[in-house]
Amino acid sequence: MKLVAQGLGWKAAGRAIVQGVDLDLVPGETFGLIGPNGSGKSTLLRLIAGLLPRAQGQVWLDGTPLHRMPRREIARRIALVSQHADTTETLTVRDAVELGRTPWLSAFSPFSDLDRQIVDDALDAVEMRHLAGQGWPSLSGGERQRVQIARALAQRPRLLILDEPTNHLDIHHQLALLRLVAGLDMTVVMALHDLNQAMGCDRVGVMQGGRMVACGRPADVISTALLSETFRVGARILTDPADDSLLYRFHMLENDG
Amino acid sequence: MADRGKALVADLKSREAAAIRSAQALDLQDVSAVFWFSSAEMDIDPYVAGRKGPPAYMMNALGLKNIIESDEEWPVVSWETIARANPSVIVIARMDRRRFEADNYEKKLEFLKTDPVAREMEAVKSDRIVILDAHSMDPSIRNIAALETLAAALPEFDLK
Amino acid sequence: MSGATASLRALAAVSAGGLAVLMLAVMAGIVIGEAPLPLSAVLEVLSVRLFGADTLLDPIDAGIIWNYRLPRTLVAASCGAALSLSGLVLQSLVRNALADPYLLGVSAGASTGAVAVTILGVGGELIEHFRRCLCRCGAGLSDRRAAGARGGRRGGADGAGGHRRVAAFQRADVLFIAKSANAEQARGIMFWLLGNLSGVRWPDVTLAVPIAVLGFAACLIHARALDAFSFGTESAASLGVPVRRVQLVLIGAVTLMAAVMVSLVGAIGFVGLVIPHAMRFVVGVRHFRLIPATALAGAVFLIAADIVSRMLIAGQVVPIGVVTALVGAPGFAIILIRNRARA
Repeated sequence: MKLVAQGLGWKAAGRAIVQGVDLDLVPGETFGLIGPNGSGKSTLLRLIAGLLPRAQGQVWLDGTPLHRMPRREIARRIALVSQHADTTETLTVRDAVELGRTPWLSAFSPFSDLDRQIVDDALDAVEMRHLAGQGWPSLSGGERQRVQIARALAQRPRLLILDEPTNHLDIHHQLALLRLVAGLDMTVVMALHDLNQAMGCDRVGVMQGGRMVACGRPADVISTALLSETFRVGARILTDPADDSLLYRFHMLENDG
Repeated sequence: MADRGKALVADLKSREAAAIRSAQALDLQDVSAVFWFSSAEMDIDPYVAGRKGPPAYMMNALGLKNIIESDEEWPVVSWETIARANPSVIVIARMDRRRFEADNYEKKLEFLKTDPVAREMEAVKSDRIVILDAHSMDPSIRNIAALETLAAALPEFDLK
Repeated sequence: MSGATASLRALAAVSAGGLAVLMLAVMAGIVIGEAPLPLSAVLEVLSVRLFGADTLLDPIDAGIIWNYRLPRTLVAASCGAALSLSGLVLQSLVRNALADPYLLGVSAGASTGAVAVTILGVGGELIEHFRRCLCRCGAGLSDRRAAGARGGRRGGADGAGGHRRVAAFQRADVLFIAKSANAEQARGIMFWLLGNLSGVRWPDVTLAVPIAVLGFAACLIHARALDAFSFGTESAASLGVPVRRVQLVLIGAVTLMAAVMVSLVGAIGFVGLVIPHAMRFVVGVRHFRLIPATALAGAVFLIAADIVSRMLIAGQVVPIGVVTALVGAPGFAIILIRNRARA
């Protein structure tokens, strides 16, 4: 699915959180969004998903303007895992993942065997099937995160939007998630804080002050100049002798008080 | 002054005795009554006379059994209970107050004749309904006039 | 395919069971009253009325069964179902466990209007039954708008706070106006504050039952959408729920249900708060099960509360709101404690 966005912007209380962002997503690519705190990553992800009111600019899905599409049609194409979605309800893990089928079911159509299969697959993908009967309050932060991702997978979208999906996850589940994402045959846009993880994306976009200041292949974009300019850190680039992949080792800049 | 007072009391007492005598002459057995003052809403449980006020005195004096057993002055009693007690006579209050719809005695009459349960009561079917001034149901010398009105109505009711 | 058939069969069985429970409760509501009437008499009256059989029954007893107790019980059931559904839907929409129909200011608004009419005599005789009910719906809605305006564009929880403040404010109105009332007026006011089913007749049934059924249908159609609200409005939107439209329809349905029921029987408390929570505990949080369970439990609960209100003190009817509060207040305390433990 091709997503084109032009002139995306959003203001909160008169302050521009995101402004003038253009973006073309190539079908099937994994696009990483990086940038310091408050640079507008989460807001941009919501704009792409069409979830913010009074947005500036325009998003097209396969040539159709997003704002002309019913929410249900959008939800069949785009799934979002946000950072702060939580509940006080005592849902089970399976209940939460089943919510992903919402855009595909009418008010009274019962859950079919196919729907059940999709939910099972989604639970397997995040290694949560054995906890399917657990209640939400008993889950750890990382488990909740994985359930949210399973819910998004059960939506069977063509564009998966993840806001810092590796947050809360232990190292095993971080790597498992990245491998899962790399293996999905859908377009993925995700905000990431770990720049080494961003290196695994097909392309990265760098947000700073609400604007996208750079966009391209990770090795081209993530330079020491960018790191000191945007992230206010220095870095040495190391090469892993096992597979020649690039690694960053960060340090504070000398002149940074 | 004192003489005029005495005369008035004597007059009231004789009028009371006369009213009671006329009722006794009817030799009433098993005749019951209820005093309906008003209702907060037309159809809800009404305010009726309990066992401790002037209406109870009037019923006692004339040999009518009060179907209400509450010791409150104006208890709220359900139409269900009133209808099942099936009073022989119903006394309704007439007043100028119009706080509630049921303050209007014509509305009370209309209710008695149209409510599917109330209209089945003996008193309604035989039209044994007496209209009394609401003030005469509060303690005062007007109670005697009310007693007379009620006593005068009874002979026409063909009660046994 | 076989799975779908089996679940349909289970659904039919559960629905039949639920209806049977409701029928039993209605029968109990008719049989039990201040004056004991035998079940045989009740059955006879029902068969006479429904199938045109002959009867030798006392017309007063027959009238009490058909014209007083049956309508009263049907309205109690409608009212219980409508109020608990209202509570459930509001709790789900604003994601606030303490939301109840009074959140909308509907009941408080209606009570204020009723009390003002009682004491100030504002057009008391002019206002006909149905018009009065519509006015109160309007009052409820405008209260909500006012609350919304005050709540501004802040989150659901804050909005809820705004509504609650408005409701509380109106309660204060009621108390203020009530202060200038005498004892007899006060009893009339009690009707609005604590609920009263004694004046219920067939015309009320023809209003209450359709509203409760329509409201139930509106909620059930949105069962999936309500599930999607469990992670908040943004999550619901990303799951394809047209959030604004669903909120509008459901809040409209809830307002209508609460306003109509309050206009018929006064503001009966705690039903909308306690029943949905009890049912979450019993059938879980998925709305496709929760909505029918809550409607049924609410209906049965209010019929039972009405029975208790007539039996608690012999020869005297305790206001039904007192009975629901006897059960509801401890229930409310449990919800508060559980909620704090979770937060």
